[in-house]
Amino acid sequence: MTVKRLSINAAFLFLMLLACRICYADGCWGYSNGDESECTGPHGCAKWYTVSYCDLGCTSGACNPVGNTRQCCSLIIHYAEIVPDGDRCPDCGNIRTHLKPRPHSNPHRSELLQGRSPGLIMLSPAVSYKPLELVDVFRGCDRAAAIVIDGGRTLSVEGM
Amino acid sequence: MAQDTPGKPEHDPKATASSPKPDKGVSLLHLTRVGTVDVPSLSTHSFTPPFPCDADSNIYYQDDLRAPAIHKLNSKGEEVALFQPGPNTDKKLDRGGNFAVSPNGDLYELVFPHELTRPVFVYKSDGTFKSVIKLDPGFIWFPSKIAVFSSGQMLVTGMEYDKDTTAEMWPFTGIFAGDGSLLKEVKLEDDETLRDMGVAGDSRVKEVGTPGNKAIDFGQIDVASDGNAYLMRWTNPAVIYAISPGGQVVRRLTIDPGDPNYYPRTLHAFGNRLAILFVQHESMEKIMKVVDLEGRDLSAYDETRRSEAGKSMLTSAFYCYTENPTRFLFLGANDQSMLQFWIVEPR
Repeated sequence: MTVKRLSINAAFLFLMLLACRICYADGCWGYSNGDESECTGPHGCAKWYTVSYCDLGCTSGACNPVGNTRQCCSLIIHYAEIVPDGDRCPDCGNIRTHLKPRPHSNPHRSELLQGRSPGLIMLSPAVSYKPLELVDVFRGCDRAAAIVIDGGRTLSVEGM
Repeated sequence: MAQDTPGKPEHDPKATASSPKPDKGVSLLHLTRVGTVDVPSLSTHSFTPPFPCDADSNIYYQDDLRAPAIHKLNSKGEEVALFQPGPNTDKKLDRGGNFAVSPNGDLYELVFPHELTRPVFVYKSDGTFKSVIKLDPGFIWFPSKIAVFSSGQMLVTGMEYDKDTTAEMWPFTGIFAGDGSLLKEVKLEDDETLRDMGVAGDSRVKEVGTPGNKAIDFGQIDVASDGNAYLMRWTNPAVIYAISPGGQVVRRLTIDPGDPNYYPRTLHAFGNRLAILFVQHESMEKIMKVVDLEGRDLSAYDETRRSEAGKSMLTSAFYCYTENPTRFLFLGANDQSMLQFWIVEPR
């Protein structure tokens, strides 16, 4: 009886491993995001979900197109997972060099940032936090001074 | 089977919960479902953009990108054409993608075969395969949205790698010729800010555990009667660029829903107007704003709510916008998940 059960378990394990081997493929991958979808369900349920897809790209590893799972209302959604193997992808296509743009060159920047600067720690979609920045310390013979900056604005000059 | 009863509200239009904040002088009416058309041949549990509608009020419904098939449905809910990339290529396809209907009725679909090329499949309006165009900007990228001008030139936006392939990707937008060659890169002035926000992990553009930038990935494009494409980024306020077929940014519009928690779901052009549906991400409450092509507010509508449960009455699948009378077409589903057209008017 025990031997039979062990055999069944071994066969099940073998099938699982085989299935995983089939759904994984080694190569160079990149994620691309799908659009945001709205799922609907019983009792007026309506929620959002987003899925990612594996496309050929520059991350060496394996892609499991259904490696991630989430639930949205009563809908079970499977989406891609890339498992990087740390190797390089030397032939993943041409890539352009981007020069770092001038900071704050866009006059409409504040319209999108809405009072928050990139670099903030987002505590929730609407609440953010930026640690104060100690930008410099001056040391004289018998005194020290520090300038504390908050988002580019001088908050205090201490010790002077 | 189809039941079309425009003119008769299905729900009490007085039962409303949301209140957009339109500019002074803009009417505030409620989006009210006035008719339903069953589509018994299709069932659904989810709605994913794009939500295109052509000049004859046919709508194009795509249900599963991994087994891509786009259903063209007429206003009676009858399927009049089916667009499938699979039977039209020998290549292994990873998935289908975004698509657009050209002014002459051809359908252009971004398709992802298992290779680095990024082709567009072109179909005639009856669903028959016409040609394949390989988009060739000269570097690897991930196109996500497409629009087609009457000239056959395409506006495509997506993301490209940084030299450090693990770093935040860069938005890229270009005008492509009918043969797929890149005619012009279109620089959009907010893209730098949106990428900076992505680098910083700002939750307004980044979702935990997923790559990409929501402002670009969730944006939409439609071509208006002035011949320009209106490319909308998923931002608050909504930023919309009017882009000419030659790749000039003619105008930059910002449409403010009046509440920082509403994000633009989709936009549709009709005549010299744009209708933009904003959705509150948590409550699913909706606001429809209608503006002219300069971005000036013309109308704002909120949603009639089910008074007893407070549930949202409409989906976010906003497909068509027409005037005289002002009418919007949404897709929805009944309790048995049968696909339905929902005819919606402001009341």
